[in-house]
Amino acid sequence: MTAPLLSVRGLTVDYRVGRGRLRAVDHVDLDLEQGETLAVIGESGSGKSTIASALLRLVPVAGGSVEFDGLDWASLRGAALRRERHRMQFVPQDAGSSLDPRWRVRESVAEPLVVAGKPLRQAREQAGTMLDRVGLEGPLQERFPHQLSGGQRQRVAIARALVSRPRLVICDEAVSALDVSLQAEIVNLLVELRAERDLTYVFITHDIALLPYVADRVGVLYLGQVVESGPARDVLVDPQHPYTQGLLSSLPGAHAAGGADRPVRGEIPDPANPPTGCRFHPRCPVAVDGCPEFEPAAVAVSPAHSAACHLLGPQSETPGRTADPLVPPPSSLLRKARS
Amino acid sequence: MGGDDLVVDHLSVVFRSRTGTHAAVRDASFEVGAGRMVGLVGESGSGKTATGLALLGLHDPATTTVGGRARFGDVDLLGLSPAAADRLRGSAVGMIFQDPMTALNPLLTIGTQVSETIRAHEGLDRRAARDKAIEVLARVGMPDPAGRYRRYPHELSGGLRQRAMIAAAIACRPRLLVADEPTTALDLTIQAQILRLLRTLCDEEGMSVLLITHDLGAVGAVCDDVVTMYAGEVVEIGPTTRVLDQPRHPYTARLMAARPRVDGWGEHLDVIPGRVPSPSASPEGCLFRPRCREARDECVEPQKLVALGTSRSVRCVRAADLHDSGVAAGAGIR
Ligand SMILES: Nc1ncnc2c1ncn2[C@@H]1O[C@H](COP(=O)(O)OP(=O)(O)OP(=O)(O)O)[C@@H](O)[C@H]1O
Ligand SMILES: Nc1ncnc2c1ncn2[C@@H]1O[C@H](COP(=O)(O)OP(=O)(O)OP(=O)(O)O)[C@@H](O)[C@H]1O
Ligand code: SF4
Ligand SMILES: [Mg+2]
Ligand SMILES: [Mg+2]
Repeated sequence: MTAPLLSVRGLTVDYRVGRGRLRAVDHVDLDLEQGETLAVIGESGSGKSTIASALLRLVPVAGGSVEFDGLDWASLRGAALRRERHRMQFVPQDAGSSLDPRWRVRESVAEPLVVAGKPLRQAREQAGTMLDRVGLEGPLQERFPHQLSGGQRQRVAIARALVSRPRLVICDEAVSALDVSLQAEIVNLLVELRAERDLTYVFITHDIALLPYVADRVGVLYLGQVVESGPARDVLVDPQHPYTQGLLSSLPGAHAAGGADRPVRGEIPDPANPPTGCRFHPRCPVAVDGCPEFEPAAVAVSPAHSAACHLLGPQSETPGRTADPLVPPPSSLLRKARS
Repeated sequence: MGGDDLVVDHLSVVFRSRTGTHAAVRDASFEVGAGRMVGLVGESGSGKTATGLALLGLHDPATTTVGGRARFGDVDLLGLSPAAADRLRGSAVGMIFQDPMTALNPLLTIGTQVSETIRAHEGLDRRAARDKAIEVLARVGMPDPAGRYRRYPHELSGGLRQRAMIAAAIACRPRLLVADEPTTALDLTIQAQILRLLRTLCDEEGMSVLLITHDLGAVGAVCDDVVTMYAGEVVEIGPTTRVLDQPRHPYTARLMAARPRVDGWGEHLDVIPGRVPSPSASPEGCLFRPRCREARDECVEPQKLVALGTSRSVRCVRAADLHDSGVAAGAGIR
């Protein structure tokens, strides 16, 4: 047994807002094997990008440990951090603002290589090949970011992340701004490159419809906490947490495909002021008496699949939620699942 | 409540640079009636944003030539002086930009940005404008709008930022709104809420919306008409239900087929092979020909946008037989 490539324990991130403090990520555990893709899903404001920033060491961490590629990642500092940074790369949500507007895009893609000590000519050449690979060819490579369309800029960002051959790539809504055809192309490309270059991905998205094409594992985030995690197929076909069930039922076609039609009501609360007990209780359609009082612990429903909900706890009579009259049977949302 | 029609007539947008010229939009004609929503769809780089920016007079004249005509009510949108275009943008005409960070001022709280727009437009005092701004923030689904009013753009998540920008754009109650990929960073429930809100503003206040999007689902949900663009040209126009249920241009059909499905386990998404041609390497005849499964000999002739019945136009020589054989409809596309 090899150790996982990424192992996160108790990751906690606070932001200062005004005179107060906001806990955007609260004791998150994640494990990711080499070559896998972990999708992180959850509503806007649930803390997805903050997890990315924390892993990338762009925001200070208030607590927890991160082991990555055999390194005690969260405690790397200064020169050591600079030396190892290339191992983890990032494809951001809005590529437009992440590229230097004064540089031709090929230079932007070459930059990480130059920083790592590659001769300029070789770096440019490699950048050109990488840009070809993501579908940005010829004269387009010599343009400035503002001279490209939104989708073209996103391809540049992907090339820039992959060019230095990282071990782990964090994609934050990397394809949500793309048209369907390009989205398909980039997703397929990411999947191919994963095999080709032995990559591992953290794939942050609100677009659940993409998960079947990319994800091996899924972590569902609610108000900074992981409420359910497991193999992608298990989580999507048989979601255990009422929040996951709600998220899935908002998918177009989910209802027709037999999914429970129970979209999440209301809005995600401000993390500066989280609800007591189970943080989901004010919006939960099946909450019971104890929910506003006690925080639920993660319960394993199978060796790799767990969820944090009181209804799954030992006190409820059945291990699953299928026998509970309040909860509809597992959705067969993903009907035609490959066997 | 009456509104105005947007009539776009032979619009062209040409970018000039040291390396040459690039015709991003060619001869595009379409209309957005008062109180109607029209979806503008097409692959990345097909010229959607370039079209939207042209309508708002936002292209840099030093590097860009905009040709043709665009009229909103009795205003000639392309003939305005920069100052007049500026005035129009703050009032009758609004735009939601593709990239929220570039559209919001990082130095001002989102509340200030929305309420300043309201103050400028409706002449309210600071207090009243603040209340109004909070109301608009709530309408776009900003949770805890009074609290978020005091936050700066960088303190918001991507989705909240996008909602703040939408609020700023609709705060001045534009009569024409160009919305460029307005909901890409949003959750499905919020997407639906925003689209419904735009639809309501059309229905109740006669606002006209050009919805630029790659999300054909969104178009299907709210738009009256669809315009498909390919490589800078309009290739299909028609009522949404008919175009999406029975696309007559092979390109529209392929766009429909490339959408992810919830049951696509371990599959590859159905990509349209090849790429949008660069203007310098345009194929002869139909621009879609090298990528088209339906191409025949006659496709090497240049294709014109041809009316098909009263409300549809298609730029494809095979539009009529594709319909008869059902090839262009979803059934034949896998
Ligand atoms: N720099 C910051 N200062 C203060 N609060 C912040 C900051 N960045 C994010 N937040 C807050 O932290 C919470 C989590 O934000 P985050 O960006 O991680 O969400 P997200 O899940 O990525 O959402 P989205 O899908 O909208 O991008 C939100 O409530 C957000 O407003
Ligand atoms: N300022 C510019 N100078 C030169 N070329 C440009 C400029 N802006 C855009 N282009 C080019 O014009 C074409 C159309 O771009 P546009 O931004 O309109 O595409 P789009 O349809 O909005 O695509 P996306 O879905 O990716 O946003 C692209 O090939 C792009 O590279
Ligand atoms: S004109 Fe020919 S090549 Fe072009 S879309 Fe129609 S069938 Fe395909
Ligand atoms: Mg985010
Ligand atoms: Mg665009």
